[in-house]
Amino acid sequence: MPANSSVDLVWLFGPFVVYLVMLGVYYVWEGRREKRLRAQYEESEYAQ
Amino acid sequence: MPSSGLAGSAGAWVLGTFAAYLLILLGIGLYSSRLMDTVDDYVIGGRSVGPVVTGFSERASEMSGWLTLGVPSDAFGTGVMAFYNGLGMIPADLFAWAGLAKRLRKYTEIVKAVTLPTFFETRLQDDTGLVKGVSAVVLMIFEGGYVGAQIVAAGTLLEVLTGVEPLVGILGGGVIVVGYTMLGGYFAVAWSDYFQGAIILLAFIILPILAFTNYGLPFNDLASVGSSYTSITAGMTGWAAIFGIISYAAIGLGIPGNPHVMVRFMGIDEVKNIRLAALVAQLFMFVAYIGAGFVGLYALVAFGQGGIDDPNNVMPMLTLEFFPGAIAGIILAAALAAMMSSADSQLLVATSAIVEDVYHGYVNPNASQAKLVRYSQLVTLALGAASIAFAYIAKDTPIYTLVLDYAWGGLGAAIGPTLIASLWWKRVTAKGSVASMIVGTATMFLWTQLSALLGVLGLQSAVDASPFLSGLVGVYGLFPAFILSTTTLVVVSLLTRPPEGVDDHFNVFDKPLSALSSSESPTGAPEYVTDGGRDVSPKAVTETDTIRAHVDATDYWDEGDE
Repeated sequence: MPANSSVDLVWLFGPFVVYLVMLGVYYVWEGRREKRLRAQYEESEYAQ
Repeated sequence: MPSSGLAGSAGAWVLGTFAAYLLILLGIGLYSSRLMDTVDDYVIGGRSVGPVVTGFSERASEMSGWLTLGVPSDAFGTGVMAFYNGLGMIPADLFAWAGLAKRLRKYTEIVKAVTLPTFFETRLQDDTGLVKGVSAVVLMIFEGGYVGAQIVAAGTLLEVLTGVEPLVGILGGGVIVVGYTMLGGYFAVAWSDYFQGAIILLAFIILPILAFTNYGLPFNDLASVGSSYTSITAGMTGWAAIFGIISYAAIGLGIPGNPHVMVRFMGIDEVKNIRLAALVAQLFMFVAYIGAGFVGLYALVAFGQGGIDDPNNVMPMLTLEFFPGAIAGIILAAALAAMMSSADSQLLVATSAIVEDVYHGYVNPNASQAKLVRYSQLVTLALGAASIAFAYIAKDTPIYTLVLDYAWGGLGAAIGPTLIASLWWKRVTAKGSVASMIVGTATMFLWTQLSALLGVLGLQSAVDASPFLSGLVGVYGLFPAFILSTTTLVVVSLLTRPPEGVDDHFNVFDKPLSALSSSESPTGAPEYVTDGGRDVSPKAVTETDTIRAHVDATDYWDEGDE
C-alpha cells in the first residue's frame, strides 16, 4: 500500500497551499498599494 | 490523575536544565530591571523592536497554553482533522493584518487611545461610560479565563515533570503565574518572548522530524489505530462533518476580538513594516499549526491510543521521549516561561480594565496614583485567586477547550464585531456595540452549556433525532455567538443615532501615519495623551506600556514614517 493512501492529502493540506498563495499576493499587493498611496499623498501635498 | 513524574525517568538533566533556564531568565530580568529606571529607558528598548519581533510576538502570545499543549492534545484525540485548527486562524489572521492592522493603528492615533475600551469609547463618542464599562467587564471575565487556562497549562507541566497531584500542580502553577505578575513581569522583555517563541517553534519543527526518522509518515500507523484518525472529518459524515469543519474554521473569528493580538497592531512603530510583520506572523502560523498537529499524531503512534491518560500531557511527553534530557528541560522551561509571560499580560489587561478603565475612568477619576497602584495589586491578587479557583474547577477540561470556550471565543464574539465595525462601518453606534457585547458574551456562555441545558429541558432526545440539530448544538460556540453578536450590532446601530464627524476620520485612512500626527492636518491629533497618565511612573512594564512607549517616542513623529 503506498504511503498516505489512507489520507486525502489534497483536502488536508490544500487549504494551506491556498493560504500561502494568498499571503504572497497580499505581500506584493500591499507593497504596491503602499507605494501608490504614498505617491498620491505626496503629489497632493505638493499640489497644495 | 497525577502522571508518574516523567522527568524522574528522564533523569536529573531535565529538571536541572528546566530550573536553570528559569533561574537564568529571572536573573537577566532582575538585572535589566535594575537598569530600567524610567519609562523612557524602556522606550529606547521598545523602539528598537522591529517588524520581525512584532510578527513573532503577535503569534508567540498564542504559543503558550493553547498551541503548545492544546493543539497537540486535539490531534492526539481527533487525528488528522486537527490540522484544520489552522483552517480559519491562518486566513483570519491574514485578513486582520490586511484589513485591520493599519486602520487600527491609524484610528487609535486619531482618537488618542491605547486600550480597546478607550478606543471604543472615543470612536463611538460614548459619554455614558457604558461602552468602556461593558468592554472592561468582558475583558475581565475572559482574560481571567485565559489566565485560568495558563495556570492549568503551567500546572500540567509541573505535574508531568514532578508527578505531583493535580491540585498541587495547579496551586504551584497559580502561585508562579500570580507571583510573577506581582513581581512586575520580569521576564516580559521583548527579546525573551521572542527567544521563547523561537525555542517552542523550533521544537515543533524538530520533534516531527525526529519522530519521522523513527516512524516514517504517521498516516498508515494511524489508520491501524482507527480509521477516524486518518479521516479529514474524523470519521464524521453529513451535517456532523459540516459542523465539525465549521467549528474548526470558526476559531479564526476570534482574532479581531482578542486584545493581545490587537494591541500588537496598535503598537506597531512604522506602518510600512506591517506587511513584513504579517509575513513573519503568517509563516510562524503555518509552521506552528502543522508542527503541533504532527506532534499530536506522532504521540498517538508512539504511545498508542489510551497511552496518555491526560491529553494535555501529549506535547511534554513526546518532548521527553525524543529529546535528550537537557534539551527537553530547556524546551519545557521555555514553554512554562511563555505561559507565565502570556498569563502576566492577560492578568494585567484584566486588572487595567478594572482599575484604569472602570475605577479610574468611571468611578473615581481623581484617584491618586498611590491608590491606583494599591488597587491594581489587590485586583491582580483577587483575579489571580479567582483564576486559580477556576483552573481547579476546570482541571479536567482539556486546555484546548478551556481556551476556546472560556477565553478566545468569548472575546471574539463580544469584542470582535465592534472592533471590525469601528474600523469599517461609519454607522456603528455605542448602543449597538454594548448590545453586541452583551449578546456575544451571553451566547458564548449559553452555548458551552447548551447540551446540559437541553438535557434539563428534556429536549435532548428531540435534538438527537435530527442530524442537523445535533450538529448545530455541537458546533463551536463562537460561530453562533459571532453571528448573533454581529446581527445585534447592525440592527441596534441602524436603529440608533450614529456618532458625528466619522467621515473625516475615515477619509484619512489612505494617508500615511505622519499625516495624522501633523497639527496642520484637519484631523491631526494633538500632542499624544495616554489613558493612564503619562506623567507618572508605570506600575509594571506591560503590553500597554509598550504601546505608550511606541507612540510617545517623539522622534517617531518627526521621521514621518508611513
